[in-house]
Amino acid sequence: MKTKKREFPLFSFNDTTGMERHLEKMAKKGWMLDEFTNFSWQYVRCEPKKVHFTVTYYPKASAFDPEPSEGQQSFEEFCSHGGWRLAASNAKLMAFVNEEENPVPIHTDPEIELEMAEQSGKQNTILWFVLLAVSVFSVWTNISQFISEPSRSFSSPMQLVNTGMMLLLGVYEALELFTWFSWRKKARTAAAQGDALPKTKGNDWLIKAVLLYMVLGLVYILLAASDTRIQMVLMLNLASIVLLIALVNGVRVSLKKKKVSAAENRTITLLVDVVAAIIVCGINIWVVFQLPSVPQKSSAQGNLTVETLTGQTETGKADLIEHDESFLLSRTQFCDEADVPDENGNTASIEYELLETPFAPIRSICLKELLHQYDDYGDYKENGSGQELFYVYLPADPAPWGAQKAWQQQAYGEMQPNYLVCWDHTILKLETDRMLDAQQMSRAAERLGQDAAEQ
Amino acid sequence: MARVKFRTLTEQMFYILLCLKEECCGMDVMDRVPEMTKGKVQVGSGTLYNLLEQFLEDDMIRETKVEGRRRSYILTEKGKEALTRDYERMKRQAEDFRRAFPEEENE
Repeated sequence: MKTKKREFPLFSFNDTTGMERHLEKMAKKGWMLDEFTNFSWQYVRCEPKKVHFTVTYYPKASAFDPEPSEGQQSFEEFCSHGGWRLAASNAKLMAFVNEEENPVPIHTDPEIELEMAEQSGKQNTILWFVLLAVSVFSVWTNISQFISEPSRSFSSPMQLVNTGMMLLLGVYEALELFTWFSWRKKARTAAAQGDALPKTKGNDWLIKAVLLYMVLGLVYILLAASDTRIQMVLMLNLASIVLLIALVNGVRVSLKKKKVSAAENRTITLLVDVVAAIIVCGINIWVVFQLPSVPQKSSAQGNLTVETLTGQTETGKADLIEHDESFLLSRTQFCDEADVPDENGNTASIEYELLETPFAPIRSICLKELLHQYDDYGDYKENGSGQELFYVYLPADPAPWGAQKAWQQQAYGEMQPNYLVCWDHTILKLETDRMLDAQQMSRAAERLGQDAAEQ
Repeated sequence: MARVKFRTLTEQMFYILLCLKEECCGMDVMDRVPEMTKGKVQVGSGTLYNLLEQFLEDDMIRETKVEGRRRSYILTEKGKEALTRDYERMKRQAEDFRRAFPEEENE
């Protein structure tokens, strides 16, 4: 029979009411809190019983203290004298248990209780504001990328998951702060009137949602990664984070055991943290450069080749440059060069990008991006009605492509052999070095799986 | 904060200071207050610990003896003044009450 049990608590930082309720429920089931570690709560088997828990913070304590301070030990003795046994403590957090039916609470003065909660909450609040700022900055950076490069962003599983993650974290951090400040406001009113402080509330459901999203997101990125190297780098980064956390925590705990003062412990741990982070980042970068070039895991075939357009015998497929695919959009880039030069000694080449999505709004956003991709290239030409762009896509006849819409690029007033073609679910951006005739367009469409003849 | 706070004493503050008229340690105060008030006032251990710290900080009590972590305290002149001020306030309130409801006094 199991005599010990470990669980990973998911409580808001100030939700002492939620923690107390949970610990009392566990004791009723026969599990008594035994230890708080940094990441888990440990229980030992006990007779199922009804007990009272009080979770409180000792504001002057620190996670770097070699042992509980005189003051903290005195506090513990006072509580013990009042019938409250210390079940577990970690840094500021202390959980006391009392088996009496109606014990005198640890806090009988709401103002003093509020003072303790506010002193402990201050550090946590600063930390949450910093985390919120990081999340907001990250969301803003990601959204800017979605605006400037929608096709790259929508097709990147990593960016999709990361944006959602940062958004979810931002909402969670903002909600934690809101919960804390709204509780503090109500608590101040209650304390001023001499009433008991209101019960705290937590956002456990959101913490669970964030964790679930993190796990699912990670699995999705690993499964959807188009390049084995991306998977390897991701795994390396994850291992580095775990290693760093373990190292920093290990240093802090071992210095505590050696009874090093809190100030020295804090300084050394911080230094180890910074130095280890720099070393691990350096190693990660070095490993990335050392990784062999592994072919992309893409089933995409570069069926459209130079020979498709020239009508020569095809000897192979176009080379894959880049492929990224999410559940929203697939983006693939190919290039191809003729095997033999033409009669003028020039080697024909093409470069093309295929965007495929069943979602019309995403298609329309990507099309807009491609149509205006060269707006900032070259100078603007002033004309009577305003500015005229040097690079512009002009509508072309979609019929030879069997497409819904088509454009051809004009640069400096001259038509270029660059095309944008839009089918039901596919957009093609094709850049060649010679103008295509209707027959070549039709052949290209056919090769790309678009039924040119029926359109 | 403590200075403003102790201008008027709460019931718990009043009895803690009253207990410390005689030298005693913190934990004894926890037992003496209910004895003194026949169980009507009880001070929580966390509240008592914090109040003793604040009283000490505000010179309303002073430390007399330290035996390990067991510390004994006694009321200072300043603490006595605070108690007297509060007693006078309560007396005034009682007199005002009597004036307002003389019939209750006769009963």
